[in-house]
Amino acid sequence: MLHYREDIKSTVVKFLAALFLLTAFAAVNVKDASAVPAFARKYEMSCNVCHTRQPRLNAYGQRFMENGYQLPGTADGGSKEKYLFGGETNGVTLDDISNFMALRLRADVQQGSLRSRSGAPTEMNVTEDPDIVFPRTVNIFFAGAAAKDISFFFEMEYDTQDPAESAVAFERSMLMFDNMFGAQNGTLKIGQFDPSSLYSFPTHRQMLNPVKPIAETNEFPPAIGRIPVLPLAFASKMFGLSTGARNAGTTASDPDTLKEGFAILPFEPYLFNAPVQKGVSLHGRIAGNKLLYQVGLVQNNTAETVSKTRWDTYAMLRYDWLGEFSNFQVSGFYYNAPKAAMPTLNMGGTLRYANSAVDWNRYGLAARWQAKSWDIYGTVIVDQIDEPDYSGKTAMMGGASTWEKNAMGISLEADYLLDDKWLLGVRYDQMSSGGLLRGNTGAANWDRDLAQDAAFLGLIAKYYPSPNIGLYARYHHNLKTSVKLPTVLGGDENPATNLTSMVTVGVDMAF
Amino acid sequence: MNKQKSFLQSLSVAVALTMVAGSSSGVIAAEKKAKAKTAPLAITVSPYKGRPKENAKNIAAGKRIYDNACIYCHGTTGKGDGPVAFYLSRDTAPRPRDLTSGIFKFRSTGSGELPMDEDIFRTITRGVKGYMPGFQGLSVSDRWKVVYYVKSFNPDFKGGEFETIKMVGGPVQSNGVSINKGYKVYQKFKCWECHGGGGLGNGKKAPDLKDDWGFPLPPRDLSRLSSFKNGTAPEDMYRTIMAGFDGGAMPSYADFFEGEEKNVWHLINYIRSLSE
Repeated sequence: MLHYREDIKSTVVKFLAALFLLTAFAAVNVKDASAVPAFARKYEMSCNVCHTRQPRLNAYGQRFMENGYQLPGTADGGSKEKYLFGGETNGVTLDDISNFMALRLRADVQQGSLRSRSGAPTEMNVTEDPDIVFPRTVNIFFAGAAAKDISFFFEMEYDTQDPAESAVAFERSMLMFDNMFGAQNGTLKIGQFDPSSLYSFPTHRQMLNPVKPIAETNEFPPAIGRIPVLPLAFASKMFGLSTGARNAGTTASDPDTLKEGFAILPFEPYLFNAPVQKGVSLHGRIAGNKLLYQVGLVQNNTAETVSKTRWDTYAMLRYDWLGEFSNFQVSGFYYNAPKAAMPTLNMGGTLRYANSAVDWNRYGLAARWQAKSWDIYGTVIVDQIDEPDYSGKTAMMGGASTWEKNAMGISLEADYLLDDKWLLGVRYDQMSSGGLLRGNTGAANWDRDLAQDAAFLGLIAKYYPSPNIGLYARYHHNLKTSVKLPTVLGGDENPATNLTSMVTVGVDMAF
Repeated sequence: MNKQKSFLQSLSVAVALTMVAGSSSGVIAAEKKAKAKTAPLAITVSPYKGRPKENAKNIAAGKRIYDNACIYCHGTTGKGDGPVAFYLSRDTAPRPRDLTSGIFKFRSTGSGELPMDEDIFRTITRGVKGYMPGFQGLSVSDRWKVVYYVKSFNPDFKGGEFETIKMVGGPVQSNGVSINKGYKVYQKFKCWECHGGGGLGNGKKAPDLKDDWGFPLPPRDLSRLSSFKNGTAPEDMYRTIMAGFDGGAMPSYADFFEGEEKNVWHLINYIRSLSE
């Protein structure tokens, strides 16, 4: 029976691979695909003016975004062109919606390969079955300049695989006031966005169809079913932290608190490098065109027993250099999140909290070099938490636990444009994790670290039959599979060591 | 199912809100503005309002704007080698213009001559469809300052006097007779060798056409009027035919039409009929 099932799986995978290749082959003959997204329509430009290859922004695209989604150096004053319907006496006008609205469809087929697995696979676990979904994610954008120096960006995302009741959410929603202190000197951004969008390493939004971590966050430690193939430098990297003791005793009858996320996932994009951060930011150019500054606030909740509003602060500085067919940039940032996490232990099924929430600091350095066919970028991000305070508690209450206060992540990628249609890439991700190392030195298997490091090597091939349509295949290989699996403290197999490889083929289309 | 319903509802509300937001009482004014914006620019020099003086101060101001708005394609030294130039058209023409070369495509001057200030101004204002955006987002004064800075890349602009192509006659009414005459002109001057018999840009010479820099340069598909880089108004097309595209494969036909310029307008009617 097992063999039969495996045969079926193998047939399905082969069929899908053949379908992908056929689609790619057919797409070669697609002539003059004319569908382009809103900004390209509005300014009558090719997608490649702003994208190395979509969705990755090039230097001009970064400046376009920096200037409130207007051409760099300009303030376009919003749309003045209107269509007239119903005659001049009783007419209504209509803005050219297609210049403000765009659609993005993403879909993929994934297959993970596991080293070992205990128990029956559940919906949340990585399974060896290919995961067939079309579309996986649907994004609808409304964006542009509403009036001179006032621009907006709304992005609704519908995740077809999100088990939550309401899977439609504003992924980005912000209002921007541009050119505040003279041309290019100050843009105020208010709303929900990724603070790292101006950082030298492309945001995870610019990765082709990122895969989210799948986890049961109402358990502790969280049962992480699928490791994301996002840049691990962006991840929280910390094991054993939660968003607060207030959620102790949370049950399935309290779904709202479950949705907020009980555990902070070590593989989740976090703080400065995460999407949907509610806050305010100010950025602009200083010292001519060479330096870009950014300062900002993010509103959040503390992880204290009685939760309060917390204001995270950050600052980023970027240096830009432009050369012949090339540009280089380097940036650094500092992010501070006070009382952001509650150290948490699971001792025999009972949660043990530290005496107080810890502060969380993040530092990062990134560089990017683009020259003709090459696009090379990398980042090092360091996370640091206070020493968890378990003073006065017994060993079983966590007093004998061991914590690592520092964590570091490195992500490097090199992309090469083979020709107008093919892009090849290689990516390396490493995570030296921190947080809860061991629960109790006297417990069974105490010598095995719970906080597992991770390292993945990824090979990427993208084919663009049209600038707005990307077909891709990726293979991510786990370089740390030889590490012992932690089985203590209620931890299941750790995907950082258990997932040996992940193959993904997919499509990313923007219209 | 509920999620899909919820999603569709959200989408409907968003579209409806956008449509309502588009309504305006200033309908006629907006219409007039839109029409004025699309009116063809004259082929000869005209006294644009808001034109600042060409002096060192305004050239420096033009550089500051260039460094924000133009440098990414045209490069720090104007050679068309900005960091984004490569991505625009990696293996085919056109790359961004080398502003130091003295070779300009969009002119109202004779073949091989430098463009008028107004030509550069018009290109900055309108852009080049598919490749260069129109910079209406810069004030008229700022666009002129960029013109002055662009001219500073080539010393031949200093003190030069350029003769514009004369526009003889004007657009003629498009009807069967005119289109038929235009078709005969199309055949006579062998436009089909590059643009193809049906104007689809698939003539026998098309695969071998290259620009002055050796990049393949497919001829324009004349059935897609909206993609014309030098404008779609009859006056724009007159300028394209008579001045040609320096650096590209389209030659000037001014000599061929000398004395029978009216046929240019018939040819224009024929070309425009291909996209109807």
